[in-house]
Amino acid sequence: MAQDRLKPLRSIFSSKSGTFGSIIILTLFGTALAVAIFGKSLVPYDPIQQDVGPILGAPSMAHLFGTDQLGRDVFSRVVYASVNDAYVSVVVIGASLVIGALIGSYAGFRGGKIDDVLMRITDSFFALPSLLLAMAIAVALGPGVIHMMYALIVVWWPSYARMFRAEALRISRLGFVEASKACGTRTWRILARHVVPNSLTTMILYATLDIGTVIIVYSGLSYLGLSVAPPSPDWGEMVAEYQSFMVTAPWLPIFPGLVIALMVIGFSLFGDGLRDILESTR
Amino acid sequence: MELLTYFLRRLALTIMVLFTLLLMTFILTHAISSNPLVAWLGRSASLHPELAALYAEKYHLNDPIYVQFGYYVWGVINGNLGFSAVRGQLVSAAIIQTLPNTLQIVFFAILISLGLGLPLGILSARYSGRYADNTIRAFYLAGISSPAFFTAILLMLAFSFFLHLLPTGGLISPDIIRPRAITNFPLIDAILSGDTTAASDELAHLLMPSLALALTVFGFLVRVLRNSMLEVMQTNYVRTARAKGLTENDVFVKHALKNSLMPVVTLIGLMVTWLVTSSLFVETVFSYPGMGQLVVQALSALDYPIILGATIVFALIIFTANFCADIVYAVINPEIRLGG
Repeated sequence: MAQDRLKPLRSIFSSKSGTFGSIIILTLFGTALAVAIFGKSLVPYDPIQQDVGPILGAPSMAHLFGTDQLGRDVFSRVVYASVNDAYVSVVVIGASLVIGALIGSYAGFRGGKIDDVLMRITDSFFALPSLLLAMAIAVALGPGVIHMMYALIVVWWPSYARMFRAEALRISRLGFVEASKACGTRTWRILARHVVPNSLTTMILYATLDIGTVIIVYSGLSYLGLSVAPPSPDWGEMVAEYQSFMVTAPWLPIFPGLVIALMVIGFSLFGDGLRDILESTR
Repeated sequence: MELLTYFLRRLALTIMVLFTLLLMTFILTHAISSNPLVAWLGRSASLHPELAALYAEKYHLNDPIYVQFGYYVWGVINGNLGFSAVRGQLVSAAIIQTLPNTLQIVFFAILISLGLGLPLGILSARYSGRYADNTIRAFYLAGISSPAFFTAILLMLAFSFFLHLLPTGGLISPDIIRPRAITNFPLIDAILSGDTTAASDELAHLLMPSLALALTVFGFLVRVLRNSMLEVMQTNYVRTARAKGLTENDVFVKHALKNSLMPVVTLIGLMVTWLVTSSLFVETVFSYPGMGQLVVQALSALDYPIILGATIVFALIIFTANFCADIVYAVINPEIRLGG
């Protein structure tokens, strides 16, 4: 049973885009993990140390991505900032999965008023772009990576609740769940034993693809200056900061921007590969 | 009749959701935020308590939050979105100034995405799995994966700084006089007043922001159209058409295309959501005086009335777009009305 569930994940490498996507994702998340463990000693220069190179220096062997207006090494900054995006995206998706599983499965399984209320709430969340709503929350909470995470979780969980609800509805009509209900098993037990585990495969696949979307929205909030406080580096914030040097040093905003795009492309390719596999097994 | 019921039910749902939304954004910005009096009056708030009291009185800041919300909803219904003390003008006035500019680039962005997305989607489906399909896929993936601000910066670097083809930003060149406002839409005004210099200059300023917006969304169109066409190609009537001896191109254009366009209609509604979101970034990069820029400025000034007002207007635009898409979809696809 467990093997069957993991099959799509294992055969991802049989598709070309899936392989490319996986390589990009593993490289970047691996980097983030390494930075999280080893900290500043991993990168060639201290990311916030000024004057380690020339002011607005072009990319060179010593400074792969060049140096910025304060003589900081951009490569070190970009690598060091990978932690934020990996951290935020994984936590936001993880939290949404958990909240969505709890609320969505219960609502779908029990139906009635709870279900109605949940659907109306998610309707409202769907009506507004997640970025705008996250922005409003972020402004209210004040800047900071943790606050940004709260803001994103608030706007992110409803879609998971909705999908878990749909899955729970489907599963609750299956024979073995009906049988369990007839035996008088308690609701929470049926949810924990049958409903949630059986919706998990679909949901985890979806969640993997969704990480790319979180990264793009987070980088947008960061670009608007709602995330880290300078001088800590963050990809979106770096693009915003370096944008004004675009004429004299075009590589400055390009490198961090490119890394965001690359990361998201990784997830898109991974998703394409996944979709191909799911369609071929159907 | 059936369509009317569907229409009314859809309208009721929209109004209900809009109300919930108003409640959410209102509570958020008011309950958790720092004191708006400080943001509006600065140090004068503590230096002149009587002034602060006057402001608090005028904007009902001393009333319980539900009463404030009541005032707010009543105001919104009457077209009054409050007053922005930071800008010193009515929120509705600030929005009327900037909204047409945003609608202009969103309109052109939709045109460009359709112009790019439809042909590429058809090509992609026609040559699925082959070289053309993969190239198109790479192109649109790069587009939808890049954050809007990055796409905008790349375009600006390419077209303004390297090729010197297009202006770097703004609504109109500073040396050109803006034609008299008739409709508030700058481009339409320029055309109505017969000012071709202004019109072409404004068009040049519009191109890059619209293109940047279009590049971030056209990929969804390609993907949906391609998959929808491939699905239609599996149907029996396409097989019949092939059996009749039609050429592959005829099958594509005459049979498959029309039936594949339905999901695209729904998608255009969704695209507006994406475009409105991206306008924040694109307008900031190009210093284009639209609603996106208005919101970004309001963010740094803690200008809550503007943030609230703009959120409502953005939501209204998105609702209207999705509403229209749903109605069009219901008209062209009778199946949906039965299920509703």
